[in-house]
Amino acid sequence: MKFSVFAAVLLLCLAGAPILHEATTVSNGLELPVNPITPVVAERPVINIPMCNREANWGGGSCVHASVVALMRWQNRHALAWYWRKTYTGGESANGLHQKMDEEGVRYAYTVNGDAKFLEWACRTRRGCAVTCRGGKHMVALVHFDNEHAAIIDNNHIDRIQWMSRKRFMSEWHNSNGWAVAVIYAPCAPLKPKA
Amino acid sequence: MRDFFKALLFSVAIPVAACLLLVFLILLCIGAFSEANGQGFGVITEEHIIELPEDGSKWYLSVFGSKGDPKTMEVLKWTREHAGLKKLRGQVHFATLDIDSPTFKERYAPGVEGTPMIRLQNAKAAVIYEAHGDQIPYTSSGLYSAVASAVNSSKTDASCPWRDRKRPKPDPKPPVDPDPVPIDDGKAPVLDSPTVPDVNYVFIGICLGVLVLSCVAGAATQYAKEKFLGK
Repeated sequence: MKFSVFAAVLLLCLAGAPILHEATTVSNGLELPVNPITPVVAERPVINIPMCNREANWGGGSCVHASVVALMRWQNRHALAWYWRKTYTGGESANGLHQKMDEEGVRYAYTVNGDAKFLEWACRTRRGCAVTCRGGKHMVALVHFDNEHAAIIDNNHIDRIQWMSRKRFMSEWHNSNGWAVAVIYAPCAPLKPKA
Repeated sequence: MRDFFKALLFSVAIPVAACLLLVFLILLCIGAFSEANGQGFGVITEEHIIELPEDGSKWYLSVFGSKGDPKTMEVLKWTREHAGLKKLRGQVHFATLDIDSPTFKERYAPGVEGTPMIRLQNAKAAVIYEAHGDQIPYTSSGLYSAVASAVNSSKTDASCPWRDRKRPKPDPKPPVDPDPVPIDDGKAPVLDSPTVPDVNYVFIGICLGVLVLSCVAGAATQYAKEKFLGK
C-alpha cells in the first residue's frame, strides 16, 4: 500500500510540473500590476510642446511657417519639420500655405470662417493648430482650447505660454479672418502621470 | 381581338407614357432651377469637405530606445512582424523616440526608468503596460501576451453585454494605407486574449492510469501476502 501511495504522489508531482512551467513561461517574469489604472491629472496645456520643438519666427515674418513647424514636431514629423523650416520663409496667405501643403503631400485641415468646432477638434485630438491673430497679420500656435480658456504659443515669444479666456481668444480670432490650419499626424504621447 | 388591343393602347399605354414624360420634364425643370439658384448660372463652385479624424480617444504606444541598441531594434521588429503587435500598432498612435533626441531628453526622460522601454498609454495618459530593459519579454509572443493581458485587465467596463453589439465594424474601401498611420476614430485597442497554456490531458490520463494500476497492484500484492504467505 505504501508503494502505491508513493507512486501516486510522485506521479501527481510529475503531472503538475509541465503545467506550472507553462504558467511561468506565459507571464515571462513580468510583474503585471493588479490594477494598472492610476489616477491621472490631465496635461495642461493639452498640446504641451517642449521648448526644443518650438520654432521662433525667422526671416522677419515667417510666423505661419514657424507655427506649422512647431506643430509638425509635436506630431513626430521631425524630418518634415526640418524640411519645411529649411525650404519656406516669409509671409504667407491661406491659399499659399494650402497650395504648398498640397504640393508637399502634407496632410492638413483648415477653416477660414472662424468655426470654433475646428479649434475644439484640433485640441480634443491633441494636435493643436495654427491660428491668426492681430487682425490677420500674425499667426500663432493654439495649444489649448476648452470651454473656459485658450492658450497660445507666440513664435515671437516661444519661451512662454499665453493663457486667456475663450471669449477673448474667439473675439481676437474672429477679428483676424478666422483662419486656422492643422497638420494631421499622430500627436506626441502624453506624459506619464506622476504617482 | 384587334379592336381590343387598339382600345388598350389608346386607353392605357399612351396615357401612362404621357404621364411619365410629363413627370420627367417636371423633374428636369426642378433640377435645373435648383442648380441655378444654388450655385449661380454656369459657375461651378467647389465645396471643400474634410473629414476630420475623431481619434481623440486613441491610445499611445511608444518605444524609447536608440538605433544602436539591438534590443530596441528587436522590439521594433516585433511590432512590424508579429501579427498581434502589428495589429496593435495599427490601432494606436505609435511612435519611436531616440533617447538621444532633444524631445526625449526634455519631455520624457524624467519618467523613463530604463531603456529600451515600451509603453502603452490610454487616451487619458494612464500607463496600461510598461516594460524596460530586462523586463521586456524575450520573445514577441511573450510581449504580446503581456500587453494583451494588461489591456484586457484594464477594460473595467467590458462586462457590459451590450457594448460589443454597438461597436462599429468599419470596412474601408479602398483599404487604408498603413504607412503613415491610418487616421480613424481611435478607441482602446482590441487584442486577442493571451494564449492560455494547453493542459496536457493525455499525460494526465496516463498518470492517472498508472496511479490506478499502482493502487491495484499494491492492493493485490498486499492481499497475496496476507492470503498465501500469512502475516
